Amino acid sequence: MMYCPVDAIKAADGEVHIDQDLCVECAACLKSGVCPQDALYQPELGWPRVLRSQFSDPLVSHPITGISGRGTAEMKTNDVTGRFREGEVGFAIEMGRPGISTSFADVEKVANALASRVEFEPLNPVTALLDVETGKFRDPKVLKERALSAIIECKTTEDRGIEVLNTLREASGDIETVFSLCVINRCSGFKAPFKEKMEAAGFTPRINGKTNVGLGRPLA
Amino acid sequence: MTHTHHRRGSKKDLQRDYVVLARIDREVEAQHTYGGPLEERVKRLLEILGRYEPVALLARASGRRLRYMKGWEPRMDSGTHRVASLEDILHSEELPDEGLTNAVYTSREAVEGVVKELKEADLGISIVVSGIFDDVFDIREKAGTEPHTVNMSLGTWGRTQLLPRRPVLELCTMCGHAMISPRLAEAMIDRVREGAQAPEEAAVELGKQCTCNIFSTQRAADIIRNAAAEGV
Repeated sequence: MMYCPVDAIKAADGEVHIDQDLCVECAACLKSGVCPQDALYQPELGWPRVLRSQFSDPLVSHPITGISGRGTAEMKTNDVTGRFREGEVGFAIEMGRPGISTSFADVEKVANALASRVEFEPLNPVTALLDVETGKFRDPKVLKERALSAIIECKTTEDRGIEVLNTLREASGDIETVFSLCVINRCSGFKAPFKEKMEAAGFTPRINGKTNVGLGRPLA
Repeated sequence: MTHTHHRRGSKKDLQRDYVVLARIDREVEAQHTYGGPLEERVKRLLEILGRYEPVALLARASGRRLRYMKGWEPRMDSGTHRVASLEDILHSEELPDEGLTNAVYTSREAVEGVVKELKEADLGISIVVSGIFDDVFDIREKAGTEPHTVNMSLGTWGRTQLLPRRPVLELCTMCGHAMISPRLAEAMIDRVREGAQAPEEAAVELGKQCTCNIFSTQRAADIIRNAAAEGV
């Protein structure tokens, strides 16, 4: 039971069962191999429950995007893709992280708040489910599902970046979970231009993060 | 995928926790062919990453994940979690996948050596260093490269009262996909406090759950040891 990241395996009246509403089909219990009775198994998952596995198990690929993990290569290959260009700022809003999990209803609340202000990343698995004009899921059945986390990836111009952060601050009060927030910016020499704008607006980034050191070739 | 982002800890702790990620973008064909066969470039990459004493190294090959983690011995294997030796990974004959590899280091000097050698090798593979920005920028300056893009963390927003206590959060955020249960982390701290398990073994039990293999067992053992000694 203690291997389940979302505490979905419960013991009651001498029996152990899995709370199917809480379970996000991440398969951490199966992979750990710790069930003394070898009683754990994962049934075939139909639509839309299969989304739980696709978004929660890092070893499962999303069939829509062909990507395993929970998002895209984002800035990790920006030196060769040019996904984020000078003057642009990217955001990765990872709903449910760290370790709390999220409903897709909460994912929609945030995506909907952002829709008119950003360009959603086309290769991202959340985007693949969205009407990008409204930020709402095309299939409302999705709303009842849960995931260990789901990443909304998007970008806008540096000029509109603070507006996006303010929108996220407001949306964070309307959700039942947490999100971890990444801000991506192309460097100018040894500086990230958007960092100063964020700090001036009262948003202070943590001291640690990721740096693409620019060794990918050919450069975009 | 932001799995090495948002690692928690004090500045002192984070200065012993660096992740180097190597990627080839699936959409950029020219990167796949840059400077010769991909297999030879990945072999060279792994040689360089392996030389600087990583505490964790992952290579993805032929659909499999080859995982080395310091302190993890074959007797500790369980379920689908299987350890590989550094030698197994460095001499693997299997073809690399596009996802390539990542390594975890505990010293800034090691990362400095890795970045410097990778620049000289000119493999064309995209390299990302996860760690304290000031240190990473300094590393890159010494290696003679300019930072291209940064990914900054603005932390956790929303119902943060749901988060576990500090040492558990520090342990669990070393697996960005959250495959390490907070309850397992608490249990490992309890076992160490009771003298039933060594901190190093408890760290491996947690690290095994991180299938992307970006977990630092060395840092985790210290966190567990300190949390157990605090008695809370």
